[in-house]
Amino acid sequence: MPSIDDDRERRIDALATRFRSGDTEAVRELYREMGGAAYAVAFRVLGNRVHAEDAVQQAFLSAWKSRETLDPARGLRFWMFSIVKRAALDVARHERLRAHGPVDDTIGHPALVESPELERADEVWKVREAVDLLPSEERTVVRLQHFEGLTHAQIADRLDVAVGTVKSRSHRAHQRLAGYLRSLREVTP
Amino acid sequence: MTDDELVFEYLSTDSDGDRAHYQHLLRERGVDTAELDMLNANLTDPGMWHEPSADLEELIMAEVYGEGEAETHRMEARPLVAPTPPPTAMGVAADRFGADRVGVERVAAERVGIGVAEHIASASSTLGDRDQRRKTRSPGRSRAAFRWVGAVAAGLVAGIFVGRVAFDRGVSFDGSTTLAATRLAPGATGTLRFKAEDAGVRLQLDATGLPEPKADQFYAAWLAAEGTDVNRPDAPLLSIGTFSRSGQAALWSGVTLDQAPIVSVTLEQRDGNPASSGQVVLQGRVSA
Repeated sequence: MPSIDDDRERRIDALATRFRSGDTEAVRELYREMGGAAYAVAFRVLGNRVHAEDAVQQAFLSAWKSRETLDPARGLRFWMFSIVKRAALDVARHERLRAHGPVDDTIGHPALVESPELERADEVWKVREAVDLLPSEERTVVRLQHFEGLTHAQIADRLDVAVGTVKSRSHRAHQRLAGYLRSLREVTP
Repeated sequence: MTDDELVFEYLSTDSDGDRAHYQHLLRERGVDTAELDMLNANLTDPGMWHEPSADLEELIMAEVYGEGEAETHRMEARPLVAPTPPPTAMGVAADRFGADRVGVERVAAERVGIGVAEHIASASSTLGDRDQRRKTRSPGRSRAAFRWVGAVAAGLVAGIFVGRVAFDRGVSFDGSTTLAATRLAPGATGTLRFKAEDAGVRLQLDATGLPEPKADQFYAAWLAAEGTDVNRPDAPLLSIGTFSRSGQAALWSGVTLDQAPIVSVTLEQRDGNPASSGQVVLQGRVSA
């Protein structure tokens, strides 16, 4: 079964060390590795593209400013996930305060902090990271099948390929996804 | 079929009947499908498939390189662009009492000019050569440069506004509103004028400071009912026209502005999708 290879994990470990030591290019690499997952978590919490991007921007800047608190032993992925989740909550609180005014004080509101969306946010991170690792043609098939709700025949028609090709791409893609997710569950708490 | 093969069949099938069949087989073998179902549920989430805006990486890097300097500039510029102004207070008054209009727009133009200058200076400090960005600049010199460039830009923009007001002298609009920029287009501004006619509402948008769209992009203007979240791609919006760059755009609405007072301008792809992208660059509210 496909898995996230050791090379990638070693690269992420090295990235964590560079990030912690203040290498600015490590921020760009971190964004390219995990920006999609960060966005997916923020979008799940906030349900809004612009607010999700605000949260991602805030999270990466916050991570950079507090880079010395990164403990490589705990892992860069889990550390970033925690920061993104906190940034998304901050944006959510800010937006609620802006919409409802200070009278409706939602800071620390249990409904927000204990939201089921937040409890499942770590799974969202892992799935998005796995999706981003798929080869482009497999990713397209998975998107059309699940997000747009097309059948294999409809996807074949849309992509102008044989139905058998779509079926095999879909099968391979889901095989990869399951493998990636299994690996991610092993390397993250 | 092995358990793994059954799992992949279960995940990848597009048939509800087959999925139920594979689920039954998996359960018979003691395999819990809850995690697989969660994976498939997550794959229907828009957040799995949206790509963040192309400029987000550079915005983050600009802040990192600037070590807070870029953020300072953005905070200084924010009053020009962030909050939607109180509904049309200045704009409507100015339009309804034409004598004030040039003066008000000159003030607005000076503010816009400084905003444009801040934006230019911020962009050059964040998107230019990295070594240049890393240089420590004297805050005093930096601010003086902003004021100088701001004055020039203000003069240019004021000239454009005054020229246009003279050009518009024969048109009597009912009112106007100022559109505020979003984070996607910091430094942009817009003024939307409107005039009720028998068949609908004539609108004229004057936009400045919008980023030049790529070859496969364009701008679209929309109206929406009160309370609509225009940032959502699935928001119910009424298209009132499209345009390709900053400047003056003629727009038209078939519904009255009291029915749809929320105004937004989005950056769109030429992908054949008539719905809004949700990438709002300007927004505001009309009090008709």
